[in-house]
Amino acid sequence: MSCEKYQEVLIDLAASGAEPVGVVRSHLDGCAPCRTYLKEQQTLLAAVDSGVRQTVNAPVPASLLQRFGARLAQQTAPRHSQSARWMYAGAALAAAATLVLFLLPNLRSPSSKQRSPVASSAQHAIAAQKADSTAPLKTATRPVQQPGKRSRTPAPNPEPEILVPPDERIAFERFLSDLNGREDLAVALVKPLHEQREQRVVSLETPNIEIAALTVQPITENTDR
Amino acid sequence: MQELVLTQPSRAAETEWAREAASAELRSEFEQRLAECGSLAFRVARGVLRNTADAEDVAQEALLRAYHQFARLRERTRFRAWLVRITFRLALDRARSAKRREVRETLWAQPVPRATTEDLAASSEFQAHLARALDALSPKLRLVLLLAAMEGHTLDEVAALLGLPIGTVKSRLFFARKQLAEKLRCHVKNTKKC
Repeated sequence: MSCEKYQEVLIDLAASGAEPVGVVRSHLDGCAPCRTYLKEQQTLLAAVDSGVRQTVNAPVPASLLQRFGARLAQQTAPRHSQSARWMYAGAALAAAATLVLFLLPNLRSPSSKQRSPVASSAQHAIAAQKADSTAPLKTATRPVQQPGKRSRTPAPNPEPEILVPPDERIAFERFLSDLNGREDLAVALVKPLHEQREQRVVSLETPNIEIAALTVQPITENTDR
Repeated sequence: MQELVLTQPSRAAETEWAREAASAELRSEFEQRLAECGSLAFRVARGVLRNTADAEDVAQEALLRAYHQFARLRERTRFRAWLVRITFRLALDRARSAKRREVRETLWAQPVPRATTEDLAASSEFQAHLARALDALSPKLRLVLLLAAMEGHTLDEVAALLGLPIGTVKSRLFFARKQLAEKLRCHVKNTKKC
Protein backbone atom coordinates (compact mmCIF):
# COMPACT_ATOMS: atom_id res chain seq x y z
CA MET A 1 0.00 0.00 0.00
CA SER A 2 1.36 3.44 -0.90
CA CYS A 3 2.37 5.78 1.94
CA GLU A 4 1.04 8.78 -0.05
CA LYS A 5 -2.47 7.51 0.59
CA TYR A 6 -2.00 7.80 4.37
CA GLN A 7 -0.53 11.28 4.49
CA GLU A 8 -3.86 13.12 4.62
CA VAL A 9 -5.13 10.72 7.27
CA LEU A 10 -1.99 11.28 9.34
CA ILE A 11 -2.40 15.05 9.11
CA ASP A 12 -6.00 14.74 10.29
CA LEU A 13 -4.88 12.49 13.13
CA ALA A 14 -2.31 15.02 14.23
CA ALA A 15 -4.78 17.93 13.97
CA SER A 16 -7.50 16.16 15.91
CA GLY A 17 -5.18 14.62 18.49
CA ALA A 18 -6.86 11.24 18.06
CA GLU A 19 -5.06 7.92 18.30
CA PRO A 20 -4.59 5.87 15.08
CA VAL A 21 -6.79 2.78 14.89
CA GLY A 22 -7.53 -0.06 12.48
CA VAL A 23 -5.78 -0.07 9.11
CA VAL A 24 -3.87 3.11 9.84
CA ARG A 25 -2.56 1.69 13.08
CA SER A 26 -1.36 -1.49 11.39
CA HIS A 27 0.27 0.51 8.58
CA LEU A 28 2.10 2.72 11.04
CA ASP A 29 3.36 -0.33 12.91
CA GLY A 30 5.05 -1.55 9.77
CA CYS A 31 6.11 1.77 8.18
CA ALA A 32 8.88 3.82 9.77
CA PRO A 33 8.65 6.81 7.33
CA CYS A 34 4.94 7.23 8.07
CA ARG A 35 5.60 7.09 11.83
CA THR A 36 8.20 9.82 11.35
CA TYR A 37 5.79 11.83 9.23
CA LEU A 38 3.08 11.59 11.90
CA LYS A 39 5.57 12.61 14.55
CA GLU A 40 6.56 15.65 12.46
CA GLN A 41 2.96 16.71 12.05
CA GLN A 42 2.32 16.37 15.78
CA THR A 43 5.42 18.43 16.55
CA LEU A 44 4.39 21.05 14.03
CA LEU A 45 0.91 21.34 15.53
CA ALA A 46 2.38 21.52 19.02
CA ALA A 47 4.55 24.40 17.82
CA VAL A 48 1.49 26.08 16.30
CA ASP A 49 -0.46 25.71 19.55
CA SER A 50 2.48 27.00 21.52
CA GLY A 51 2.82 30.01 19.23
CA VAL A 52 -0.88 30.86 19.40
CA ARG A 53 -0.92 30.50 23.21
CA GLN A 54 2.13 32.72 23.45
CA THR A 55 0.40 35.38 21.33
CA VAL A 56 -2.91 35.30 23.17
CA ASN A 57 -1.72 34.93 26.76
CA ALA A 58 0.61 37.89 26.78
CA PRO A 59 0.57 39.69 30.15
CA VAL A 60 -2.18 42.27 30.40
CA PRO A 61 -0.73 45.77 30.93
CA ALA A 62 -1.44 47.07 34.41
CA SER A 63 -2.32 50.44 32.95
CA LEU A 64 -5.18 49.05 30.85
CA LEU A 65 -7.97 49.66 33.34
CA GLN A 66 -6.46 52.87 34.68
CA ARG A 67 -6.21 54.35 31.22
CA PHE A 68 -9.68 53.16 30.40
CA GLY A 69 -11.04 54.76 33.57
CA ALA A 70 -9.42 58.06 32.65
CA ARG A 71 -10.76 57.85 29.11
CA LEU A 72 -14.22 57.04 30.37
CA ALA A 73 -14.18 59.96 32.78
CA GLN A 74 -13.09 62.22 29.94
CA GLN A 75 -15.86 61.06 27.64
CA THR A 76 -18.65 61.03 30.22
CA ALA A 77 -18.16 64.62 31.29
CA PRO A 78 -20.77 66.39 29.17
CA ARG A 79 -20.70 69.56 31.24
CA HIS A 80 -17.25 70.42 29.99
CA SER A 81 -17.77 69.52 26.37
CA GLN A 82 -18.16 72.14 23.70
CA SER A 83 -21.45 70.75 22.42
CA ALA A 84 -22.93 70.80 25.90
CA ARG A 85 -21.95 74.44 26.28
CA TRP A 86 -23.79 75.28 23.09
CA MET A 87 -26.74 73.26 24.29
CA TYR A 88 -26.83 75.14 27.58
CA ALA A 89 -26.47 78.45 25.79
CA GLY A 90 -29.47 77.58 23.65
CA ALA A 91 -31.43 76.51 26.69
CA ALA A 92 -30.53 79.73 28.49
CA LEU A 93 -31.76 81.74 25.53
CA ALA A 94 -34.97 79.73 25.46
CA ALA A 95 -35.45 80.28 29.18
CA ALA A 96 -34.83 84.00 28.84
CA ALA A 97 -37.25 84.23 25.93
CA THR A 98 -39.87 82.30 27.88
CA LEU A 99 -39.51 84.54 30.91
CA VAL A 100 -39.86 87.60 28.70
CA LEU A 101 -43.09 86.19 27.29
CA PHE A 102 -44.53 85.68 30.73
CA LEU A 103 -43.23 88.83 32.36
CA LEU A 104 -44.10 91.21 29.51
CA PRO A 105 -47.73 91.84 30.56
CA ASN A 106 -46.59 92.78 34.06
CA LEU A 107 -43.89 95.05 32.80
CA ARG A 108 -46.35 96.94 30.66
CA SER A 109 -48.83 97.50 33.50
CA PRO A 110 -46.93 97.29 36.75
CA SER A 111 -49.82 98.78 38.78
CA SER A 112 -52.33 96.30 37.54
CA LYS A 113 -53.52 93.95 40.21
CA GLN A 114 -54.77 91.33 37.85
CA ARG A 115 -51.81 89.29 36.99
CA SER A 116 -51.62 85.94 35.37
CA PRO A 117 -51.02 83.18 37.90
CA VAL A 118 -48.05 81.82 35.99
CA ALA A 119 -46.33 85.20 35.76
CA SER A 120 -46.98 86.00 39.38
CA SER A 121 -45.67 82.66 40.46
CA ALA A 122 -42.54 83.21 38.38
CA GLN A 123 -41.99 86.60 39.97
CA HIS A 124 -42.74 85.14 43.33
CA ALA A 125 -40.08 82.54 42.65
CA ILE A 126 -37.50 85.20 41.90
CA ALA A 127 -38.46 87.17 44.98
CA ALA A 128 -38.22 84.07 47.10
CA GLN A 129 -34.82 83.30 45.63
CA LYS A 130 -33.61 86.76 46.53
CA ALA A 131 -34.96 86.46 50.05
CA ASP A 132 -33.63 83.04 50.77
CA SER A 133 -30.63 82.17 48.71
CA THR A 134 -30.22 78.77 50.34
CA ALA A 135 -33.61 77.42 49.22
CA PRO A 136 -33.63 75.57 45.91
CA LEU A 137 -35.50 77.10 43.01
CA LYS A 138 -38.09 74.36 42.76
CA THR A 139 -39.40 74.87 46.27
CA ALA A 140 -39.80 78.57 45.67
CA THR A 141 -41.92 78.11 42.57
CA ARG A 142 -44.80 76.58 44.50
CA PRO A 143 -47.70 79.04 44.72
CA VAL A 144 -48.74 80.12 48.18
CA GLN A 145 -52.13 78.81 49.22
CA GLN A 146 -54.00 80.32 52.10
CA PRO A 147 -55.33 77.68 54.47
CA GLY A 148 -59.08 77.47 54.96
CA LYS A 149 -59.92 79.35 51.80
CA ARG A 150 -61.59 77.55 48.96
CA SER A 151 -62.35 79.08 45.65
CA ARG A 152 -64.65 77.98 42.89
CA THR A 153 -62.04 78.41 40.26
CA PRO A 154 -60.26 75.20 39.38
CA ALA A 155 -57.20 74.59 41.45
CA PRO A 156 -54.14 75.75 39.55
CA ASN A 157 -51.42 73.27 38.73
CA PRO A 158 -49.19 73.13 41.80
CA GLU A 159 -46.14 73.20 39.55
CA PRO A 160 -45.65 76.07 37.10
CA GLU A 161 -45.45 75.12 33.48
CA ILE A 162 -43.33 76.78 30.83
CA LEU A 163 -43.60 76.65 27.07
CA VAL A 164 -40.41 75.66 25.27
CA PRO A 165 -39.68 74.49 21.72
CA PRO A 166 -39.91 70.67 21.54
CA ASP A 167 -36.34 70.16 20.36
CA GLU A 168 -35.01 72.23 23.26
CA ARG A 169 -37.01 70.57 26.03
CA ILE A 170 -34.29 68.17 27.23
CA ALA A 171 -31.63 70.87 27.14
CA PHE A 172 -33.97 73.15 29.05
CA GLU A 173 -34.54 70.49 31.70
CA ARG A 174 -30.82 70.05 32.16
CA PHE A 175 -30.35 73.76 32.32
CA LEU A 176 -32.97 74.00 35.06
CA SER A 177 -31.43 71.19 37.06
CA ASP A 178 -28.16 73.09 36.99
CA LEU A 179 -29.95 76.30 37.84
CA ASN A 180 -31.29 74.87 41.10
CA GLY A 181 -27.97 75.23 42.80
CA ARG A 182 -27.25 78.67 41.35
CA GLU A 183 -29.75 81.23 42.51
CA ASP A 184 -27.48 84.11 41.52
CA LEU A 185 -27.62 82.94 37.91
CA ALA A 186 -31.40 82.58 38.06
CA VAL A 187 -31.77 86.13 39.29
CA ALA A 188 -29.20 87.45 36.84
CA LEU A 189 -31.12 85.92 33.97
CA VAL A 190 -34.20 87.97 34.78
CA LYS A 191 -32.63 91.12 36.17
CA PRO A 192 -31.32 92.67 32.98
CA LEU A 193 -34.73 92.30 31.35
CA HIS A 194 -36.39 94.02 34.27
CA GLU A 195 -33.94 96.89 34.23
CA GLN A 196 -34.23 97.36 30.54
CA ARG A 197 -37.98 97.83 30.49
CA GLU A 198 -37.76 101.66 30.42
CA GLN A 199 -35.18 101.54 27.71
CA ARG A 200 -37.45 99.57 25.47
CA VAL A 201 -39.36 102.62 24.16
CA VAL A 202 -36.80 104.89 22.61
CA SER A 203 -37.73 107.53 20.09
CA LEU A 204 -36.28 106.80 16.73
CA GLU A 205 -34.05 109.56 15.52
CA THR A 206 -33.65 109.85 11.78
CA PRO A 207 -31.48 112.38 9.98
CA ASN A 208 -33.25 115.08 7.98
CA ILE A 209 -33.79 114.15 4.42
CA GLU A 210 -33.05 116.79 1.87
CA ILE A 211 -34.99 116.61 -1.34
CA ALA A 212 -33.39 118.34 -4.26
CA ALA A 213 -35.57 120.58 -6.40
CA LEU A 214 -37.01 118.74 -9.32
CA THR A 215 -36.85 120.46 -12.67
CA VAL A 216 -39.17 119.29 -15.42
CA GLN A 217 -38.03 119.74 -18.95
CA PRO A 218 -40.04 118.96 -22.10
CA ILE A 219 -38.72 116.23 -24.35
CA THR A 220 -37.29 117.64 -27.50
CA GLU A 221 -38.97 116.19 -30.58
CA ASN A 222 -36.95 114.55 -33.28
CA THR A 223 -37.02 116.90 -36.25
CA ASP A 224 -35.54 114.40 -38.70
CA ARG A 225 -38.81 112.50 -38.87
CA MET B 1 -45.25 80.15 14.30
CA GLN B 2 -42.96 77.89 16.21
CA GLU B 3 -44.47 74.93 18.03
CA LEU B 4 -44.00 74.91 21.81
CA VAL B 5 -44.42 72.21 24.43
CA LEU B 6 -45.25 72.52 28.11
CA THR B 7 -42.66 71.50 30.64
CA GLN B 8 -42.57 71.71 34.41
CA PRO B 9 -39.26 73.01 35.73
CA SER B 10 -39.38 71.20 39.07
CA ARG B 11 -40.46 67.89 37.56
CA ALA B 12 -37.81 68.32 34.91
CA ALA B 13 -35.15 68.63 37.58
CA GLU B 14 -36.43 65.48 39.29
CA THR B 15 -36.38 63.64 35.97
CA GLU B 16 -32.82 64.76 35.43
CA TRP B 17 -31.79 63.56 38.89
CA ALA B 18 -33.46 60.21 38.31
CA ARG B 19 -31.66 59.91 35.00
CA GLU B 20 -28.34 60.65 36.66
CA ALA B 21 -29.03 58.09 39.40
CA ALA B 22 -29.83 55.42 36.81
CA SER B 23 -26.68 56.31 34.93
CA ALA B 24 -24.58 55.97 38.10
CA GLU B 25 -26.13 52.58 38.84
CA LEU B 26 -25.42 51.40 35.32
CA ARG B 27 -21.84 52.56 35.57
CA SER B 28 -21.37 50.74 38.85
CA GLU B 29 -22.69 47.52 37.32
CA PHE B 30 -20.38 47.95 34.35
CA GLU B 31 -17.34 48.56 36.55
CA GLN B 32 -18.02 45.31 38.41
CA ARG B 33 -17.60 43.40 35.16
CA LEU B 34 -14.68 45.47 34.00
CA ALA B 35 -11.93 43.84 36.08
CA GLU B 36 -12.71 40.42 34.68
CA CYS B 37 -13.58 41.40 31.13
CA GLY B 38 -10.81 43.94 30.61
CA SER B 39 -8.18 41.21 30.30
CA LEU B 40 -10.48 39.17 28.04
CA ALA B 41 -10.84 42.10 25.64
CA PHE B 42 -7.10 42.69 25.68
CA ARG B 43 -6.28 39.05 24.94
CA VAL B 44 -8.69 38.80 22.06
CA ALA B 45 -7.22 41.95 20.56
CA ARG B 46 -3.67 40.73 21.24
CA GLY B 47 -4.43 37.46 19.48
CA VAL B 48 -5.45 39.30 16.33
CA LEU B 49 -2.98 42.16 16.34
CA ARG B 50 0.02 40.53 18.10
CA ASN B 51 1.07 43.93 19.37
CA THR B 52 0.59 44.99 22.97
CA ALA B 53 0.14 48.70 22.35
CA ASP B 54 -2.36 48.22 19.53
CA ALA B 55 -4.19 45.55 21.53
CA GLU B 56 -4.50 47.88 24.49
CA ASP B 57 -5.92 50.64 22.29
CA VAL B 58 -8.44 48.30 20.73
CA ALA B 59 -9.40 46.81 24.09
CA GLN B 60 -10.04 50.27 25.47
CA GLU B 61 -12.08 51.23 22.44
CA ALA B 62 -14.11 48.04 22.77
CA LEU B 63 -14.71 48.62 26.47
CA LEU B 64 -15.78 52.17 25.76
CA ARG B 65 -18.27 51.03 23.13
CA ALA B 66 -19.50 48.34 25.46
CA TYR B 67 -20.02 50.95 28.17
CA HIS B 68 -21.99 53.26 25.91
CA GLN B 69 -24.21 50.42 24.72
CA PHE B 70 -24.42 48.63 28.05
CA ALA B 71 -27.88 50.01 28.80
CA ARG B 72 -29.23 48.47 25.60
CA LEU B 73 -27.94 45.00 26.44
CA ARG B 74 -30.96 42.91 27.40
CA GLU B 75 -29.15 39.85 28.71
CA ARG B 76 -26.41 41.06 31.00
CA THR B 77 -25.15 37.48 31.38
CA ARG B 78 -24.12 37.61 27.72
CA PHE B 79 -21.84 40.56 28.37
CA ARG B 80 -18.62 38.57 27.97
CA ALA B 81 -19.69 37.12 24.62
CA TRP B 82 -20.85 40.53 23.48
CA LEU B 83 -17.55 42.14 24.47
CA VAL B 84 -15.56 39.41 22.72
CA ARG B 85 -17.42 40.06 19.47
CA ILE B 86 -17.00 43.84 19.70
CA THR B 87 -13.28 43.48 20.43
CA PHE B 88 -12.73 40.92 17.70
CA ARG B 89 -14.42 43.08 15.06
CA LEU B 90 -12.50 46.17 16.13
CA ALA B 91 -9.21 44.27 16.13
CA LEU B 92 -9.90 42.90 12.65
CA ASP B 93 -10.67 46.42 11.41
CA ARG B 94 -7.47 47.72 12.95
CA ALA B 95 -5.43 44.90 11.40
CA ARG B 96 -6.94 45.53 7.97
CA SER B 97 -6.30 49.25 8.08
CA ALA B 98 -2.72 48.62 9.22
CA LYS B 99 -2.25 46.29 6.30
CA ARG B 100 -3.47 48.88 3.88
CA ARG B 101 -1.06 51.43 5.29
CA GLU B 102 2.09 49.44 5.02
CA VAL B 103 3.19 47.20 2.22
CA ARG B 104 4.63 44.15 3.81
CA GLU B 105 7.16 41.91 2.20
CA THR B 106 5.78 38.52 1.22
CA LEU B 107 7.76 36.10 3.25
CA TRP B 108 5.77 33.21 1.84
CA ALA B 109 7.32 33.73 -1.55
CA GLN B 110 10.86 33.84 -0.22
CA PRO B 111 12.84 30.60 0.00
CA VAL B 112 13.68 29.83 3.62
CA PRO B 113 16.09 27.24 5.00
CA ARG B 114 14.34 24.24 6.47
CA ALA B 115 14.75 23.35 10.12
CA THR B 116 13.24 21.05 12.70
CA THR B 117 9.89 21.94 14.26
CA GLU B 118 11.48 22.34 17.69
CA ASP B 119 13.80 25.02 16.40
CA LEU B 120 11.06 26.68 14.39
CA ALA B 121 8.64 26.93 17.26
CA ALA B 122 11.06 29.10 19.20
CA SER B 123 12.30 31.18 16.29
CA SER B 124 11.01 34.63 15.48
CA GLU B 125 10.81 33.58 11.86
CA PHE B 126 8.34 30.88 12.75
CA GLN B 127 6.32 33.42 14.72
CA ALA B 128 6.25 35.68 11.68
CA HIS B 129 5.00 32.84 9.47
CA LEU B 130 2.48 31.85 12.10
CA ALA B 131 1.24 35.43 12.27
CA ARG B 132 0.63 35.46 8.52
CA ALA B 133 -1.05 32.10 8.66
CA LEU B 134 -3.33 33.38 11.42
CA ASP B 135 -4.20 36.42 9.34
CA ALA B 136 -5.19 34.15 6.48
CA LEU B 137 -7.67 32.22 8.64
CA SER B 138 -11.34 33.05 8.32
CA PRO B 139 -12.71 35.13 11.25
CA LYS B 140 -14.88 32.26 12.45
CA LEU B 141 -11.98 29.84 12.71
CA ARG B 142 -9.64 32.43 14.12
CA LEU B 143 -11.94 33.49 16.95
CA VAL B 144 -12.43 29.90 18.09
CA LEU B 145 -8.70 29.21 17.92
CA LEU B 146 -7.83 32.32 19.95
CA LEU B 147 -10.45 31.72 22.62
CA ALA B 148 -9.49 28.07 22.96
CA ALA B 149 -5.83 29.04 23.36
CA MET B 150 -6.58 31.43 26.22
CA GLU B 151 -5.57 30.27 29.67
CA GLY B 152 -8.45 28.86 31.64
CA HIS B 153 -10.79 28.48 28.68
CA THR B 154 -12.16 24.99 28.09
CA LEU B 155 -13.93 24.09 24.86
CA ASP B 156 -17.23 24.06 26.72
CA GLU B 157 -16.62 27.63 27.87
CA VAL B 158 -15.71 28.69 24.35
CA ALA B 159 -18.93 27.12 23.09
CA ALA B 160 -20.93 28.91 25.77
CA LEU B 161 -19.16 32.19 25.07
CA LEU B 162 -19.90 32.06 21.36
CA GLY B 163 -23.31 30.48 21.71
CA LEU B 164 -22.28 27.53 19.52
CA PRO B 165 -22.67 23.77 19.92
CA ILE B 166 -19.58 22.06 21.28
CA GLY B 167 -19.32 20.00 18.10
CA THR B 168 -19.09 23.16 15.99
CA VAL B 169 -16.34 24.52 18.22
CA LYS B 170 -14.35 21.29 17.96
CA SER B 171 -14.81 21.22 14.21
CA ARG B 172 -13.68 24.82 13.78
CA LEU B 173 -10.70 24.26 16.03
CA PHE B 174 -9.69 21.20 14.01
CA PHE B 175 -9.87 23.03 10.68
CA ALA B 176 -8.08 26.08 12.07
CA ARG B 177 -5.14 24.01 13.35
CA LYS B 178 -5.03 21.98 10.15
CA GLN B 179 -4.92 25.07 7.96
CA LEU B 180 -2.17 26.60 10.06
CA ALA B 181 -0.16 23.40 9.89
CA GLU B 182 -0.55 23.22 6.12
CA LYS B 183 0.80 26.73 5.68
CA LEU B 184 3.72 26.17 8.02
CA ARG B 185 4.64 22.72 6.73
CA CYS B 186 6.95 24.12 4.07
CA HIS B 187 9.35 25.22 6.79
CA VAL B 188 9.73 21.81 8.36
CA LYS B 189 12.63 19.58 7.50
CA ASN B 190 11.94 16.49 5.31
CA THR B 191 8.29 17.33 4.75
CA LYS B 192 7.22 16.30 1.31
CA LYS B 193 4.02 18.34 1.04
CA CYS B 194 4.42 22.06 0.47
